[in-house]
Amino acid sequence: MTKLDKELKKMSKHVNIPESYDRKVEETLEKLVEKREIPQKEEVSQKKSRRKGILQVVICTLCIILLLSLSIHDVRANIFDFFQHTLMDFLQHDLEENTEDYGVESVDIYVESKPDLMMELQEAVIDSHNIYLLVKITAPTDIEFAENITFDYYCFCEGQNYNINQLLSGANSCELLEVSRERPNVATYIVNMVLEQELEVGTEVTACFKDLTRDPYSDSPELLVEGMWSLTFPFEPTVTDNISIEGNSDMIFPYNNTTATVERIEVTPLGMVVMADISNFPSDEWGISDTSLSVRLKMIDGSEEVILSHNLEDETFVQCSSRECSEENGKFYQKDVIEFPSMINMNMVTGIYIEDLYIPVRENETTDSN
Amino acid sequence: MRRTEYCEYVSRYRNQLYMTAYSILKNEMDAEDAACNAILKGYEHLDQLKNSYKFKPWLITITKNEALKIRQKRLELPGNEKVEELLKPAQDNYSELWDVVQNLKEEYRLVVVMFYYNDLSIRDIADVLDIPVGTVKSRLNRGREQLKEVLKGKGEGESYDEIR
Repeated sequence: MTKLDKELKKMSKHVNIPESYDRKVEETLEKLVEKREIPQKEEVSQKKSRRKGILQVVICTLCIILLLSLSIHDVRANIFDFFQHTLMDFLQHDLEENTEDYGVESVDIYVESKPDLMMELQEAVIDSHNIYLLVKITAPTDIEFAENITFDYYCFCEGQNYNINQLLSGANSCELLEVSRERPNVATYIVNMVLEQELEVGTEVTACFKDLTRDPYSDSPELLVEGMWSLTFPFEPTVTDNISIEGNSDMIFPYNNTTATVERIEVTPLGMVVMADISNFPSDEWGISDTSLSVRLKMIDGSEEVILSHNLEDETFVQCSSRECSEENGKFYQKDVIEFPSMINMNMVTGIYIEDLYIPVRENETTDSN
Repeated sequence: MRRTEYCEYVSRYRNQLYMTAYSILKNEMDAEDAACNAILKGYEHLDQLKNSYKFKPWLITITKNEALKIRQKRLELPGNEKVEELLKPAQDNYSELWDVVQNLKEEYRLVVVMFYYNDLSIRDIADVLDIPVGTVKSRLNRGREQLKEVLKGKGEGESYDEIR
């Protein structure tokens, strides 16, 4: 967080709320205490949601029948001539090296969507928490792609169609990679998602895009092509090399004046997940105390890569990160999901520091807690 | 979460519900109504909350939806009255930063309020507003820049330059 952010946060604490609001809230809360009709309301809402579900299935079936009856134009854009444009290149992988050294492959997929804006899903790189899609887009000939053109809205859903009830959180970016030299209405985009929830291998995932727009975040966005498009693909990890560590009761580290235990750590070339049992931490401190972690990767040459740090000034090897808390069987867990800015070579990683707890990833080293 | 705990959690976050509603409606009475409606609705749908740690963003989402409903009803007033002209102006005793924030463009204003006033994470803001994380970050960045410019114009610019 920058100093400006800290100052704004401090200033934001001084807001006077009208007294009339406090009175209204008190009255509302008193009504809730007197409320006795909850079981009946729950039954009614369950019936309503069942009816809604049946209606959604009927509408989806009708849409699928309508789509199948439309003709799909098979448009293939020319392949770029002068250089290889794969996701490996985008992920800063040296094209002369063997991809197997990194344990990452990209999978060629060919998926089409409806005309007027042709979208082709060409490649995918997927691990347990990251999805990178290479999408080729062919727009009407009067549109010339540029960096300020993207979609006004994009998201990922579980299933074969856009469904707000099956929305997967974590859509991160949709960036222009390159524009075809011969045809400026043809471009390739990289769409990235950082998954926060576990997905079963083989689950169908749909990437949805709405309204191709110039300068969508400016004061005067220009709608170029109105519509919604989707591309469905199977969630099948292409990352084969990873470090997976199951925690045990010995893996204890200091956590905010108490202790926490490592539950699970997973490291892939694209990112990592750290899950810890924080049941010792008082739940009413959440949102008040600092619950940041210090995480470092120890490399084979002796250097350390700082992933997470208590010190906001430290330079970290993080593209983006998120945190989720959950409760299961009376225990409380904190899960940090981190995306690296570029791929790392897993063979170079010898150990992981969580605070001052050291966890080796090679058998001839030992765990050490200072 | 038990229903007996619900009232306690609501008390903890009541001000943030008001601030969210006010940012959308810019009217005190409507914002109070939206926040109270959200409290009632949250109680009725408490079973849909799977994780008590997500209580705050969940209830703020409900508040946002209630505020949008009230705003939609306003637009449906007969005769197409310009409802904004009838709105009560902001109180003088709000903080200066709050007044500046309320003058931001709505898409930046909501993100700024949720980040600085409601203390939501970028991920939670994306879920509440149903927009991608990248969009949240860019709107927050733009909102922050606009705040800096406006506060600079009000003579507080030096302090922010020093902070930088």
